[in-house]
Amino acid sequence: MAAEPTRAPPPAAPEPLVAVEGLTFHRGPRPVFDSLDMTMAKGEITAVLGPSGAGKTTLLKLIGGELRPDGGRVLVGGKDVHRLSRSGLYTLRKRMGVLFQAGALFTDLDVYENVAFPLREHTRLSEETIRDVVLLKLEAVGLRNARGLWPRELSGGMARRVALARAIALDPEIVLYDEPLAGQDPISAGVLVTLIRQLNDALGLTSIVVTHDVEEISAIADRMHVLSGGKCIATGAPAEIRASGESSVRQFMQGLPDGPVAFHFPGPPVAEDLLGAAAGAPGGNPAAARA
Amino acid sequence: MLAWLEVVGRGAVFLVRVLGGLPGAAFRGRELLRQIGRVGAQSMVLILVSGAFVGMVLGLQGYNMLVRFGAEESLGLAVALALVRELGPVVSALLYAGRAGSALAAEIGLMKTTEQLAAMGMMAVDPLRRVIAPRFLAGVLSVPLLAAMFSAVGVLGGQFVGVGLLGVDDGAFWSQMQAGVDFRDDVANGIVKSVVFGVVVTWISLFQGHDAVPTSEGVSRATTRSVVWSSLAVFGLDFVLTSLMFND
Ligand SMILES: Nc1ncnc2c1ncn2[C@@H]1O[C@H](COP(=O)(O)OP(=O)(O)OP(=O)(O)O)[C@@H](O)[C@H]1O
Ligand SMILES: [Mg+2]
Repeated sequence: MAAEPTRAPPPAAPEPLVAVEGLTFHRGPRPVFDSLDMTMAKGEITAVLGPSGAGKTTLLKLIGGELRPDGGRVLVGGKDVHRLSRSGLYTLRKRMGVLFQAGALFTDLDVYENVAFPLREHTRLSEETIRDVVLLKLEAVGLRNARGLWPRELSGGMARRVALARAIALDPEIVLYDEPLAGQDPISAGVLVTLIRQLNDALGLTSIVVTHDVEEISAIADRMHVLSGGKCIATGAPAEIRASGESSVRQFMQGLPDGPVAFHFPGPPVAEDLLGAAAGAPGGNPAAARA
Repeated sequence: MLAWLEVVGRGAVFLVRVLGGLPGAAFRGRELLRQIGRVGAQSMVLILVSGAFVGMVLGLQGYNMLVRFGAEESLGLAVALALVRELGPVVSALLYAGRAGSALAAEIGLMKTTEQLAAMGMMAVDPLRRVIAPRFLAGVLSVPLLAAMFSAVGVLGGQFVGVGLLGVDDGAFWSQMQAGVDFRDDVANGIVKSVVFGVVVTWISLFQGHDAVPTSEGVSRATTRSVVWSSLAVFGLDFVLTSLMFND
């Protein structure tokens, strides 16, 4: 899935639309982010990469104002998301589309009504216009003919694509994608990647894509951030990230099991755990022990 | 104790925000009717059948008691008063809590667990207004109607046993009832009770669902808690309301 080779490289310091400054966030005693800084430029596709559990979903929830940080701030369009009133936050969210990792479709509405939901809530469009918009959005994700199905009748990948259609129903300025490619076959993954690029360019959107599909996203991202250990360990255009000599970045990009990025959730080593259990500490839970 | 106070605090904030959504919910006629259909109609068959049996038992017990004083003509009055003042509001609220309240708690809890509520919030639609408020209003409107049905069917059940099986005079059954039941003291107070129960049971059920820990076990606990707390609240409030209403 190659992007057009003629696309001009992004300018060196584009205007940031989303800025994460000194963000600190804990889950229980464990820090997920430790003074994280990153920016997402207006009009660009920014990919946030990182191993499972690195905090990618958490980052999107902080940007959308669903979670509150323990320190630092998140600016969207110059506004501190976590200092807005509820109505201020809702005004901001009308400009955002969010694709949830699990889709989060409304189970008591069918596919058509799920996509129509934001239109019905926030616009006074006529029934015909709503129909046109819904069918166009579903067409874009290849599911126009699935409009009569219920969420329970969709596969995981299909549900995610319906959720994508719903996220872009109102033509938002910023779209946050949480793992748009997970669970997609190579054909739909390719189509979705192209779709994300096309939407971004045609509508002048700003896209933030959280993923661990390095290959696919490298083809379309303007800029990538690599998250690890609560920090952003690398930032740059896909080619720069690929060429990075930093060992943890190389390890992640090439999918090597050994290196500075641990595959295992932090805790005591396996030998200690297995032998320790035999020595009379049954079912000891390291996460609970630390808490 | 502190944790308990915190839950009550969250529940109060929840209620205030839901009440703020009521005007909007009242104007969403179709959604409101749909929810009344679900919340109210769900409990209706249960209420009608239970009401009939409770009325029949009242007929039997009341007859046995009254016949000792030769006052079995007053059976209609006794059955009607017991139903309108006490059993109608209380039993229908308990049945509603078990049938519809638990379903509400589970539904909202699952919507939270599957991130449907969060997704709605991210679409700048307040789930408390869009999802909870219509269900709350539907519950509050349904409970008094269910209580009225319960009492009406109960009176017919009492009449069936008293007049039909035990031979109480039909005319006396109805005329004593008509003469003895006071609208303000009995009927209006019964309605006030069932409105209060409707508010409290629906509030507790929706709040438990909304406050559930987002896991399978969390939803199951929330469902159980909604019934337990609703039932306790109904009995406690019934005592308070009765002592306020009927003590002069
Ligand atoms: N509700 C929660 N309670 C406690 N800890 C949580 C919760 N949600 C996430 N975490 C922790 O926060 C960390 C980051 O989680 P997050 O879901 O953001 O990871 P992720 O990068 O999106 O992973 P994946 O690629 O697997 O989706 C994880 O270590 C996880 O254990
Ligand atoms: Mg995630």
